[in-house]
Amino acid sequence: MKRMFRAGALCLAGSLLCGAAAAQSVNVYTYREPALIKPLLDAFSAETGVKVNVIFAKEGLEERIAAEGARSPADVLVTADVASLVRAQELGITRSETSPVLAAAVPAALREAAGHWYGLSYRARVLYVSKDRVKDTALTYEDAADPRWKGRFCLRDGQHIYNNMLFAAGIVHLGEEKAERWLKGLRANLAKKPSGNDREVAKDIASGQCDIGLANTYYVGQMLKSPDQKPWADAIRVILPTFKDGGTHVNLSGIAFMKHAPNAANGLKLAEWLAGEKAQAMYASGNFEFPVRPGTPVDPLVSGFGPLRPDPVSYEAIIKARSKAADIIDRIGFNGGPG
Amino acid sequence: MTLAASPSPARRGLRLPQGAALWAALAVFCLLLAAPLAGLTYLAATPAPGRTGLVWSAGLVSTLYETLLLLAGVGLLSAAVGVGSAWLVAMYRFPGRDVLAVLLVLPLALPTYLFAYVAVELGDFFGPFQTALRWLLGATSRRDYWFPEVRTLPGAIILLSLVLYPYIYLPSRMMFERQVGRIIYAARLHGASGAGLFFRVGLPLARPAIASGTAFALLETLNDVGAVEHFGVQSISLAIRSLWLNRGNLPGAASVALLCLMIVAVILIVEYSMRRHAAYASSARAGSPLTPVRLTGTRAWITALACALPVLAGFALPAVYLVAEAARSLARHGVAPGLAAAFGNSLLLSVLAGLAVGLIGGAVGIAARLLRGPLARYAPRLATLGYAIPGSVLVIALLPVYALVDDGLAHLGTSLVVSGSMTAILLAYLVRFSGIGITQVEANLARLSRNIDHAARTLGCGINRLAFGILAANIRVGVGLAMLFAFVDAMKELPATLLLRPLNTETLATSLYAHASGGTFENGAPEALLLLLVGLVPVWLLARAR
Repeated sequence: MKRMFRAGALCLAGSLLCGAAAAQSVNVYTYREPALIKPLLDAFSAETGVKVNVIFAKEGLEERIAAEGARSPADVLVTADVASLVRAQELGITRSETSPVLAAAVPAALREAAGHWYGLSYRARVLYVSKDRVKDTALTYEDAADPRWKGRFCLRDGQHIYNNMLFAAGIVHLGEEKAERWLKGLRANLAKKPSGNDREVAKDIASGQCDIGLANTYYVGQMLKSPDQKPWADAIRVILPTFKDGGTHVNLSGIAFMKHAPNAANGLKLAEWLAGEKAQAMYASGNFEFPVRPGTPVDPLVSGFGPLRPDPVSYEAIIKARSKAADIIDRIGFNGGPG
Repeated sequence: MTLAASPSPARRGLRLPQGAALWAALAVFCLLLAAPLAGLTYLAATPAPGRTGLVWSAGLVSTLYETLLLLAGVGLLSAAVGVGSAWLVAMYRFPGRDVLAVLLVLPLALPTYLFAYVAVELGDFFGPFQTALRWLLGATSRRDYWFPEVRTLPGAIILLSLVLYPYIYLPSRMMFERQVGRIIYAARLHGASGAGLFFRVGLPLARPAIASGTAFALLETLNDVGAVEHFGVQSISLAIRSLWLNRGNLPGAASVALLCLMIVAVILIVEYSMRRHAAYASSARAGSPLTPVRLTGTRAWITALACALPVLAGFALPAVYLVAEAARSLARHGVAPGLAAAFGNSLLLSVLAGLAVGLIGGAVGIAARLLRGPLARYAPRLATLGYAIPGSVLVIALLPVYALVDDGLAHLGTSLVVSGSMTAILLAYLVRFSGIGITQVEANLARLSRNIDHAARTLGCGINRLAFGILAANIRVGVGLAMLFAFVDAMKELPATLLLRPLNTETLATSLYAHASGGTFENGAPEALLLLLVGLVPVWLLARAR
């Protein structure tokens, strides 16, 4: 026990020393899954010689940075969704950073006007349908509430941010009253209580429990890469749905600059690198996401889903409607399941 | 507030004022108790930008209803499994009894979130059971046959009960075997046996052990986020999180968390007041004349099976699955480079948490026994409150407290001392786990007759000497149990470790979560297995505690 304790202490001391020793470094707080972001950060370090120190968490990083205050080591916050970027700015922990490189790489609609945050990649929230049991090739989000899907529809927790943002977009398009009717329709179609994660939608379709479900695009590519999950991906087809008066709901991942960054220059360097050609190609090929940089090709698998027409509704409007969407989901007992 | 008895007249040399050390320990503990409450109050009172303080919604009613169902289910099932197996092991002799007595504690080493993933892998369509069933029936689709759905409320109840019942099994068994053995023995002599003996004698006598164990199981259920979310159960912990994250209403989330805490606090105090005067003062002599009855034939095997079932479902099955997955993952990807460091960090944090909780548990347990006044009486009752807050919300509540401490320390140095350091994680562990430490020590102290204190004081022994000389020497078992429980809990802890850790620092739990969050939980199997194996050491020691 004592020896193990000593080994543990050594490991700890080692990791702390390494962190302090690097002359050129950047501190990244991130919500992105390590498997997705790590190859990118490693490539950045290899190319620039800047060491990247990372904390990965699921929630609460904005609060942590706010509490750390002026002495926070965070240089940048790399998020998996636009809501966290906006929230970071609301909490006053970001600063604006203007850069011609970023301005050229990131379209104006995908970044904050003053440069507090920049989008890096986006993914669409789409319909997975059974290859065998569904013949449709084009559907709208509203169609998923059609009674013909009764007992055939699956998705994860209705309060999960991916669904919450989509439902909020629904409120922006349809208005609160119609959106509630839409969500009631979805609920009536549920094959089972919302649970699991996006990959399990494909799994439940493969098992025959559901025929249609909502999930993000990039999971298809990731499931195909895993021998265990390939059968799930093989059982489904992707339909890019649109709102009747809009496009396909996409969610933006991005990077925000921290107000008290101790290595501000390296933070900017990282952001510019992530928006560069090489990193953007990695977002497309490694992560199966849509790169923000104009002219960067998407992965053939993803382009095979068909042409994407992103919903033109503004993020501000969607984020404003999130609270209402969460209320409706609670009010109609969406997570309680069918019936 | 006065001390229990007048200080000893004999004073030699330099000495602390009588009882000062105990008061200091109590004060430290009260700070730990107050930290999350102060943090939550601060958050509840700080308006969020542009949001209203809406707290009550229709959804909250159905959430409360489902939470109550979950709590009732877990409470009943875990108590039934825990007390039932403890009774069988204590009262009967059957094949495999001595081994099962130890094995029954093992599920404690399995984190609920990990078990949730494993249960879904095993019980879903592509898992071994359904695959075998399809092969037998020649079925191809999930709609061709019936099989219980794993990701449901009953599924969550079974899952949580299977990992939480050892909290009840362990104290109940000790109670049956040692403390109330004599009474059971006497009842037996008077002809009581079987179900009558259990319901009319055993169950009422074990009530304190059952109550405190079930309280832990229920509080663990209340703060769970990982398993209930995966299983689609609408628990209050998810509602709190949704208020914070989806509605941008951290003040509202903090208010609901505070409300939950107050309800739990009231229940804890009421429960204490009700049994305060019903002390189970047993004689100081250890040992019991209880000899287990030898079972034979079918009854013996049925009993063995009943005791083996929770071990099989709650430990053997997931462990075998993890071994297989770990072997597959290692064959495919080799040993992950960070595994050794993660292992070291987990071990370091858990050892420190164990030591600190043992120390606090011992000191506060003794303080509660020797000191007078409402603080000494009621503060230890609230020790388990740290368990009642959803992990991530507890952490968010601690952040402003850490900031305050760091601001204070800023006058001495420049950088952050608490925030973003291992200290931050350790303090969160203390807030969370000191409750179980105090409970263990108090259970131990309750077995020591008050006559010891009176005799010592009569003989002129000061309160310090009574506390740290006599009582401390007699609570080794309780302190040991406190350390072991805290070690296991710290090993499994996820939300605080995940959010509070320093840059580039992984533990086994966080690197397992990193894999799971990407939906490739099977790649984290080596971490999961290691986590389980390290957890087994203290669990093994716990099981053998006498």
